[in-house]
Amino acid sequence: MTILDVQNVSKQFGGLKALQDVSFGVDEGTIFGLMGANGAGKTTLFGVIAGQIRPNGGSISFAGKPLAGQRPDQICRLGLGRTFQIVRPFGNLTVLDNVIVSAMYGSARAHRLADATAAGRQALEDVGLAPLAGQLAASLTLSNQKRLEIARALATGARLVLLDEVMAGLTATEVAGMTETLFRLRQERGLTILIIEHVMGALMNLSDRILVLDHGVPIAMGPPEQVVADENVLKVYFG
Amino acid sequence: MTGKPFQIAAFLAVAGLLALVPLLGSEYWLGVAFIVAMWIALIQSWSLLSATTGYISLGHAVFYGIGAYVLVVSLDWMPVPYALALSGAAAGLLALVVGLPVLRVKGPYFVILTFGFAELVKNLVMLLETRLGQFSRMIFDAPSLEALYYAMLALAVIATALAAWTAQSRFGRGLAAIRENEVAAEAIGVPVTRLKLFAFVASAIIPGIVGGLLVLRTSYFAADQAFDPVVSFTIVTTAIVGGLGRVSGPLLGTLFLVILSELLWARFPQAYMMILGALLIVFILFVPQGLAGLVSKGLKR
Repeated sequence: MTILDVQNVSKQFGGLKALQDVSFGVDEGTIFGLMGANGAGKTTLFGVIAGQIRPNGGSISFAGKPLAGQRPDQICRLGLGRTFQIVRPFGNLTVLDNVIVSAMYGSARAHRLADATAAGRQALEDVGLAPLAGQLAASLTLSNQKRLEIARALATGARLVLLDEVMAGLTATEVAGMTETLFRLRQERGLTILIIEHVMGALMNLSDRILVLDHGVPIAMGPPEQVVADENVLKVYFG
Repeated sequence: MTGKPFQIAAFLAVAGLLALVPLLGSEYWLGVAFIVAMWIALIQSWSLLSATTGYISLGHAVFYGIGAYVLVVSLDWMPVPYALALSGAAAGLLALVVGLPVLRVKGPYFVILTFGFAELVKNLVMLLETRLGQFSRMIFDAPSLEALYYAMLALAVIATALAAWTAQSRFGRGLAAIRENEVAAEAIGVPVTRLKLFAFVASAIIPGIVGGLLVLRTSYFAADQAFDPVVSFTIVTTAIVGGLGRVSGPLLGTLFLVILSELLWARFPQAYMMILGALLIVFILFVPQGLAGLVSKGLKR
């Protein structure tokens, strides 16, 4: 079943065409990779899906509901969570409080503190931050703040999460660990993941399907082994 | 969490002591206690928006002023309690109407906008009063100081209880997320615009009633005094000196302010604002957690 359906989405910033006629669908319980050089429009696409950026054209539906005109908080409450490439922790709150707010306001709707705390701790456990629950978020290392981004998106109770370069800056061992975590989340929670990653190997490993963008234009889509062999992709990446 | 029963007991003890002040039978001390309760009510209310979300309002005098104005005008038609309720409602309504456009801007722009808005309303009311041929208004047969004091004390207690409730509620957590990062807050499902507006309105209602009570106390209304920006400055300074983000902050700040002004205001009125300014700088630079932060550090030791 298609959980996210993106149809002919376009976005212009002044004269710059950041996204041109982008269409793709993501099946529930799969991991879908987004690839492309810097400035290809990947993060813009995340912004459009999650409601931070208004597209100039096209339509997006999530779990059968059109997202047009919805605010980010409304989209989140439908069950769509996202992380930010440039991390946005609630710095003066503890790690645990960061995820408790998420569980209270997201689609999990855990209004009671006890429920929200349980959901939050689970999310911290999932990304390996549980031992740091009591620390201020601002005191975490960058790679842990990236984990916190994921935990916060998970704690909302999201069925689909958009992960924006959560592995950038991690060591090879950490990348392997994160890959395993994402597989486990899909397995255990039936989570659907849309992921942007510069770490090519990781993306190839993780993704069931990959979409390649070049200057806002989709140039290839399919299973990883097909995409890496694609003529257009080779041209863009290797000239 | 172990400190919580102790905290509640301490607040109840302070409220209980303040409730006994009329028994002293001293007009002077009752007047001082009235002012103490007034600042506590104003600063706790202000904190509801500004300390929680980081949207620093430098125009809270507008709510206090509009409350005063509505009271003095409506007193011709209705008994005092209704007029006071109307003062609070008018302040809340004003916050609701201006909140949507004003809360769109952040940081220094919000500070300047709230200040400018308060000055605008002040001048509009002054213009209106002049047109009506009213330069000031007097109130005859106001309630006794004792009655006004109990009303003010009730507002202080309600405002403090509201601040304490907010601090640990879902609402308060949403506001803290907004303060920390608005974009991220919205992305995890916090309805930021609605929450900010709600906090803004909540922070305006009690100051509206406070303005009404103060006019009844002084029996005199003049727009430039009722909307005096010094009230706004004092609220912000006292809140910072007391310590933002702790329910005890406004209480300690008020205590400090009232002692200071009882000592200085009478003797060196010109120096008052200068000292307020100097204090603000000292606290922001050296004691960012305020008096409440110092006290909690001291208790831990």
